[in-house]
Amino acid sequence: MREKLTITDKDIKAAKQMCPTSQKKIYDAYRVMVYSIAKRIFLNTGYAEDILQETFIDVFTKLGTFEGKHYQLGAWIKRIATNRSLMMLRTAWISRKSDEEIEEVPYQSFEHQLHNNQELEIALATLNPVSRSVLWLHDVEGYTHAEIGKMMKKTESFSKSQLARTHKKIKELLETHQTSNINVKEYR
Amino acid sequence: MSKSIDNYLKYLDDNLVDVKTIQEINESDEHLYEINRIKSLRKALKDLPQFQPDESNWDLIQRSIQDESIKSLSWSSLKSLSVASLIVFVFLMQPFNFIPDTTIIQSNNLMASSFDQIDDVSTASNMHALLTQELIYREIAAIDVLLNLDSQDDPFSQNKDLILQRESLIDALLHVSLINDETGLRLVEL
Repeated sequence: MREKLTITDKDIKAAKQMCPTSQKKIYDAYRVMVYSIAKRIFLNTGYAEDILQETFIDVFTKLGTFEGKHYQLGAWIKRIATNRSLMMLRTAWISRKSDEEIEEVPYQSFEHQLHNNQELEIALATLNPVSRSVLWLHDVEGYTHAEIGKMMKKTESFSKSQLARTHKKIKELLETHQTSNINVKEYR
Repeated sequence: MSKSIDNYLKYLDDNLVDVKTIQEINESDEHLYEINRIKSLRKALKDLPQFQPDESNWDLIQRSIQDESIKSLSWSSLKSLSVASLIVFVFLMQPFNFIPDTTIIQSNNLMASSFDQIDDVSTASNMHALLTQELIYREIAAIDVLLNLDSQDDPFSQNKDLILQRESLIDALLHVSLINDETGLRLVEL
């Protein structure tokens, strides 16, 4: 369930002065959003928690530079979370590790989180982290190809071609899934 | 040819629909189908459940924020303290000629670079900057006196060490960030 906590300009002002109550209020309002973005990109609880922590440390140490209104805070935090995730994804260590670790994620570990979306969750899990990031940022978070290209230090057309290929792959995966209930590992 | 196909071709002829148009219609249907498919995919992705982080994360975040603020506070204090203590140290020891010239130059350089490192100009008060400048000017004046005396004794002598020291001090002076019009004029004179 999406949280409906409302943050006011007063909360932001207090958080800028390091008020713990206001900081907690901001954290509670946006923690699910930040954690979900990271979890969707990495599929890994450890990385998602790292991103959650790094994002909110950035948020509270750089809140002094935020000059927007309360309704713009979510977008600002989302951008920090996305940049943090993509920065982690860009590091060679993660690029190398993420594939191995996704392979180690057993199908059963996803199962309890899935309801009617099992097929889609499995299809998402079979994508490589870069394709999954592009798909998620464009189709769910609403970033444009130009923004995604910039954040990933790539071109706009890179984002477009990645998305087109990912859509095609998802379609193929879902079609395959409709006929057989194959384990995630078998797609690799 | 079966009767149904025959009838179908007759139907096409009667309705003036050629094969090419049929193909275009099919392609556009396929295109629409793809668009709808992507729309459905997007909707399904957006409807996927969100993830709840563990409660313990907040404690870690809070601790890290506190560490960060202590670190930044102590660093800015240290920067101010190091500049202030250097000024006081050089200022007190200089009249006794206790510090070798090279140390004074290094201290001046260090002071100058410390000022460069301070992000917030208000942190380094104007008083500190003016004091530093004044100390450097005094050093230069002292060297000028020595150079004058030296040249009076021996008109052809060139005390390279003193000239180098003088140049270093002028460099240090240039590094002090708060240069106003008045000090600018003094620099031109040097």
